Amino acid sequence: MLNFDLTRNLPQHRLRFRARLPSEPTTSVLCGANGSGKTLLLSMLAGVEQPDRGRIAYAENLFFAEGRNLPPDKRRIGYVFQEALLFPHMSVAKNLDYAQRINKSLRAASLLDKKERNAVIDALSLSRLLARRPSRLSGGEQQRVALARALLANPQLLLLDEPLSSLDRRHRREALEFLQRWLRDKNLPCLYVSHEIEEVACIATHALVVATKRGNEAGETIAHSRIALSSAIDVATTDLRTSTLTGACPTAVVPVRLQEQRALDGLWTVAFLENPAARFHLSTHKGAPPTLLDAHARTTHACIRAEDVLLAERDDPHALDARLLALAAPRDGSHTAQIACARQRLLMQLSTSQARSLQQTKGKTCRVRIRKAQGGIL
Amino acid sequence: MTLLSPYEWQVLRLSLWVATLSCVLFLPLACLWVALYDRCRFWGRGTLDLLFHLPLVLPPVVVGYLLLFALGKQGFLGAALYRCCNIAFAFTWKAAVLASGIMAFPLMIRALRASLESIDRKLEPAARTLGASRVQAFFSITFIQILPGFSTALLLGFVRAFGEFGATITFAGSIPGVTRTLPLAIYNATLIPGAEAEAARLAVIACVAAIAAILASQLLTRSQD
Repeated sequence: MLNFDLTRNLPQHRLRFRARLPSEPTTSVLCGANGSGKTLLLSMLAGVEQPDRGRIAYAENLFFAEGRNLPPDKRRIGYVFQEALLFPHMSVAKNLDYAQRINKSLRAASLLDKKERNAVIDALSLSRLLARRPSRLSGGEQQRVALARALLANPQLLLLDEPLSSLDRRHRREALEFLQRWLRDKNLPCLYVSHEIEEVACIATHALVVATKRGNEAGETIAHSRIALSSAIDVATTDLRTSTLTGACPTAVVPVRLQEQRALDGLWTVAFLENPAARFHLSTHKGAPPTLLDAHARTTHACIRAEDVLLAERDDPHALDARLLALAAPRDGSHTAQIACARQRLLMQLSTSQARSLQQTKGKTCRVRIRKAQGGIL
Repeated sequence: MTLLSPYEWQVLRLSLWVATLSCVLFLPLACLWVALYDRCRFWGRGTLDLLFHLPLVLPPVVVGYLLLFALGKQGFLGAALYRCCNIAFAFTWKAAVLASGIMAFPLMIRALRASLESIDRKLEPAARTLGASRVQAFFSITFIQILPGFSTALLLGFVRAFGEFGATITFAGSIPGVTRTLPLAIYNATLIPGAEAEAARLAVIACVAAIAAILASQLLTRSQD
């Protein structure tokens, strides 16, 4: 649906972004270290910044190519900037209706009706704020208004740059649940930048990772940013050394099917999608059911931290077969290993001696046990 | 008008006329330059800006002298203008307008630029992503927000032009009814023995006019909110 291959020259280096997003509407998380160019990429897709060369195509529309540069107002892309960028001389209500006012004559048919407008305002708890000026809002309130303003323009593609970073836990959860529902109802594809693994686990079905390679060519540093697309989220597994998501520990996010809740401690039992026999436990905030990606199939995301994946005892009944894929250089006395387990890529932490013996094992196979995972809930 | 003598009335009317006309002529030019300086990069951009700021730092008499040098009947531009179009600037009311306008020009530029710089430049791109064309985004976001800057520029320019002395007396002279504006009339009155009362009356008129300009500007700003 969205295809792009963009090059942008910066004073020190060159950035290149390349990806093809699948044809059905997806919510893709865009990850990468600070300064890797995520925001620049979103700005170029929205038409606010210009690539030096390349091509952006969305469905049947060609946004950018040689000799063609569709202006941002013709792209119908909703873009929530990192800063809320509310118009300071207008009330919240006027900010929300800006797109409607501007486009009254142009594309009245494609605008949202009043019922939908009110639904957005209610879901993001903005009705109390409508008469206020943006300068009288808190950071979290400003972000909610910015998100609502982008949705009310009824875009065909949504770009979100850390849209909920200032929200408190309750509002973030409400906003995410609403956003997930809205994206599904509207068939609206979305590209989402976030460093919060829980947010990612709640909403994303795909991941684009900006991986930066640095090389020395003719005395200058060149960073190639390449975007890898994976069907399951393996955000952290793409780059073993640096997890770009917050949290002390590298984490893999995998899709799982939700089963029952244990009465004993409120943990949920989940099974790998590809391997229903391989089960483990999921812990959620106050034992509440995790946000479902697909309510019918009861699928959700599990965040499995590297330190929660252990080498299993010989007689462990819950142990899973795993194979070592890659091993990162040791840091603070432990290695982060990438393993294939139940047809997913997971991360685990190994001590130096464990890592050495695993590497010498025939086929590099072992049995692992997942101690506990975090559920995709906020 | 019984409050003012015919002479005082004439001086005040001329001052207001000269100050208003120089604002009307030079404020659009200031807007144009600020916009050009902000949006475009071209050769000589910095030099021109420096040139436009010179009246702010030069002694006004020097500005008047330079104008005379360029546009006087013997000046290199003035002579040519006089020969081909029969237009003379020096020592006419046009010279008074030009001199006070040029003196007010850098102040108007500074006021407009300050208000433009106080606006977040990413707001216009944000408006574009919401469907506003370039023109719509400019008028609905940037233009509305710099409106208070316009009234500040107008006030500063007007009072500067109204109070102009040095450049005017050098380039336009102090001809009663033609170029003798309020400051020149006050100066003239102080030179004449026994006209101290006349000077005082003119000074009071100048104070009242200046306060009225500030109040008008405040009203203008308040009406924009």
